[in-house]
Amino acid sequence: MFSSILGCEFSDMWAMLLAPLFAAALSAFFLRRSKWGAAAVSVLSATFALILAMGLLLGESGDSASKSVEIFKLGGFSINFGFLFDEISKNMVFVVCFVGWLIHIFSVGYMDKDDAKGRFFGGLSFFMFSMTGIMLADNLFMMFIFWEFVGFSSYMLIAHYADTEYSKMASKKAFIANRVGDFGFLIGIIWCYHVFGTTEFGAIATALKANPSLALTPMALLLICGFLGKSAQFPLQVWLTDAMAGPTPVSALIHAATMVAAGVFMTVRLGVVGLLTPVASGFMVLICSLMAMCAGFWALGQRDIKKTLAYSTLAHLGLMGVAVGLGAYGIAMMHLTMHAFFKAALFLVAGSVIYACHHEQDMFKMGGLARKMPITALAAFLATCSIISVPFFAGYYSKEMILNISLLSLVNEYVNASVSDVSGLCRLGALGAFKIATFAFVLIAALLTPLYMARLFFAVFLGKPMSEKAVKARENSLFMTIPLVVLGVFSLAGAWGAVFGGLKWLGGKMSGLMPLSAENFMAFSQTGWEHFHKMIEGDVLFDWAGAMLLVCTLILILIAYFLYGRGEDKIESDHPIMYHILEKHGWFDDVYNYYVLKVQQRFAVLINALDMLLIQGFAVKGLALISRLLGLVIKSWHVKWVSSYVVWMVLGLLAAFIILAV
Amino acid sequence: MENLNDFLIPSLLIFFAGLAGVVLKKNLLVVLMCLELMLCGAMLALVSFSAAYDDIDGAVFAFFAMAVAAGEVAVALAVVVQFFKIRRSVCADDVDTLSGE
Amino acid sequence: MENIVYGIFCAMGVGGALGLLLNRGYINAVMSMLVSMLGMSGLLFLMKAFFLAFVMLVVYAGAVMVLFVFTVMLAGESRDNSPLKNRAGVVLLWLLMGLSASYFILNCPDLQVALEGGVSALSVSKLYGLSLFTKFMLLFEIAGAVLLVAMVAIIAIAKEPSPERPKREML
Repeated sequence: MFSSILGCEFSDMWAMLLAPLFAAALSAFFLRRSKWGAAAVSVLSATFALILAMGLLLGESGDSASKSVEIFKLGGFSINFGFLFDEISKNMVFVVCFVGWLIHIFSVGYMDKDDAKGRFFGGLSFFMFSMTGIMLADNLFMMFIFWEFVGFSSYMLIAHYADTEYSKMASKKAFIANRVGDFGFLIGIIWCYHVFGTTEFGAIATALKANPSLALTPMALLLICGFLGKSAQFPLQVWLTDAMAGPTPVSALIHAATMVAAGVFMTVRLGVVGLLTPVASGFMVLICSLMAMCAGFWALGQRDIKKTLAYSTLAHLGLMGVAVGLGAYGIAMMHLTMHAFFKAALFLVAGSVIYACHHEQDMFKMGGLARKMPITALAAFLATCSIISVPFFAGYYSKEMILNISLLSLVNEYVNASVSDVSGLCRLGALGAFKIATFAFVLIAALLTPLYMARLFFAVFLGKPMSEKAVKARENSLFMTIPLVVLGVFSLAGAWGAVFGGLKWLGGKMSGLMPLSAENFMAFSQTGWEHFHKMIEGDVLFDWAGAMLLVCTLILILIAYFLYGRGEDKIESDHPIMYHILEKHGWFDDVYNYYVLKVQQRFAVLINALDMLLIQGFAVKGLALISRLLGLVIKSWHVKWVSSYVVWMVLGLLAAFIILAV
Repeated sequence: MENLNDFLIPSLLIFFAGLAGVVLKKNLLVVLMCLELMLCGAMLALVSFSAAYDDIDGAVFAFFAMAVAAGEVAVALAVVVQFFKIRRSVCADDVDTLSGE
Repeated sequence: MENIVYGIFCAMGVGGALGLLLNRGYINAVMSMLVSMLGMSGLLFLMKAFFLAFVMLVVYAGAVMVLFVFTVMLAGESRDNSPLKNRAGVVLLWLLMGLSASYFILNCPDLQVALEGGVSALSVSKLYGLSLFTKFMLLFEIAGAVLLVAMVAIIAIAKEPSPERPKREML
């Protein structure tokens, strides 16, 4: 938009990047105590960013990469900030800016009674700034810098309710888990720099096209560590559920729609460039499918509405990781987009419901809210259908496609295999077992979704109100309901533009509900929806599999009604042991706590003792001792009597004379 | 009397007498006088060299030294007198206000 | 004849110096210093540096020593009561340094220069003036400034603090 005025291509992107930072700085320095100033500034900056983004997306087609600006130089090494605005970024930019804008508006209503609005909105704007940086980065170092910024904003925002111990612990946990992942990420980046001499995506892609063997598995695994930390996969998934201690808009924006998706975005970038070796991809598929399944089980053991949604996010991130591991980058981005819509909707529903019930978060203490908050219930219904993958809803297309491609890869493994000898058979057997296992995990994860999501819906919206607070619930202000409705509509119809090709309008620039340039990568690229859909179209196996899945979904919804729809969790009351296993979410927290308390703490104390003894004792105090001794000696030369001074002077002169003469 | 040595040796002896007094004497005034002795000895040596090489520069140097020595003695004595007014003593051992633990 | 005069003046110079070191009474010490000055002045005469010799007599023996006499009479003690061995130590130190230096000088070949007989540059007073006002003009002026500063310094150091005058009311 400004390009015609200012004449340079990428100034729009700089404006989009820096406007939220400016808003954050303004809020932090001047608007801390203001009643609505910080909120207004933040929403304005989000609106401004959205307008710029839409301008860029609806503008010229084609990728635009810009000249990089050198930020830091040390010898031969330099860190540049440049923008890479290709299809993947366009997709992500739309998602983040649009969903972020809606959540900003929601926060105005949700944080209405909060005291520290300035801090909150400042943090929110800073987050938008960092996220924009990750999306537009054209090299790994810049992405890493903004990666850390995003981690910091998450830390700051989780600890918003700073007077509770839980939120402080949760924010520390989030930051530390992220940091562990980022450590591996950084080593991977350095290795990448060492191998390629640069971390710019375009340059790496060119180098790998020429010589594919440059991509090393350990390097890819280290880079994936960043994904494991940010998108909370095994073994670093412990922080996401506790991150729900932050305010609900934070959970919606950061821990559902955008920040955790940054990990997926990063791996998609790496995959498109060619850095993910088959072994690394297989590793990713294994971990993510396992996570998806386990998270589905653990979601059944939660009473807190936000924690259930957090486990659901974990599961869906696992699904996205599976898609990336299988090479279907477009599908991964598609699921990222659809997930952002329905998960943000669900979190905003949760926020709306929590706010209406005066900050009650236990699902089984709510109930019957469909009558009292109809609009919220409608939005929740749309989003839930989407996540359960009811046909024609947005989530159906992406989630089904992920299942289909994992089935496809399994089938291909056997159909196209040619067995020549025993070792080939063993390899086929091992690889086949691997594929079967991962498909099974993904399938179970897909089947568990209706179970826990229906549980949530029944407990919150249907049945009778289970507590005083639920009785008094009323529909919330327009600030909160309108974003809900918009996101609900997007959960319903978000994928129609990608799937049904004929929905173009606005001169072909918009397709369905999203700009065409944002949909390009996920729908029409080489790894997109169209491509895979053509592969499985008409295949009897896939049609049959789809139908079976639909039937299973309906059965599971019925089971969910009987188990959970009558106002209490039957599993919790009748089978406490099983519930307890589910609730413990894999004992990860216990193991980590034990490790930190017993092992790491003792090691730290030991090192501290060594430090006190060696460094402080010998080095610091020792040096001081030497200086003091020297001082004592020299002080003894300063005798009182004037004549001794004369003696020293004469001796000194004599010495000088002798030296000069000699 | 024909040699440079003839005049250098007395000048040296006077100089070293002054030096020994400055180093080892305890009365401030005697120390100052020995300082003057050193200056005199130096002047004598200067003039001897000047006479030996028939160059007047050494003698002029000695002249200046004399002038400055006069001024310096005056200032030093003023200081000693002030010190005496405060401490009632001119022993060098009593100049100890700046020292101490 | 000249040798005898030279010997007397030498003895006066060195003897006076020793007297300064060894004398118990302080006024005695000042008087021996005066004798030393006279001897040195005599040595200067023998070198034919007449102008300098006179200046030495007038400035040193005349002004500086008088100052010393006044100050010694002002300051407290009249006798030096230190034990004999201290004073003997001083002489010993002098002997040590002096003898070694003399030995060095007597045996150093560069210093075996003969003095000219007759009129040398030193004996003509006019040349002093010429040097002072041409070659050493700057030094001359600076020496004058130094003496001025010394004068001011002495006044500042030795002054009594002025008494407090009652402050007059400002309007």
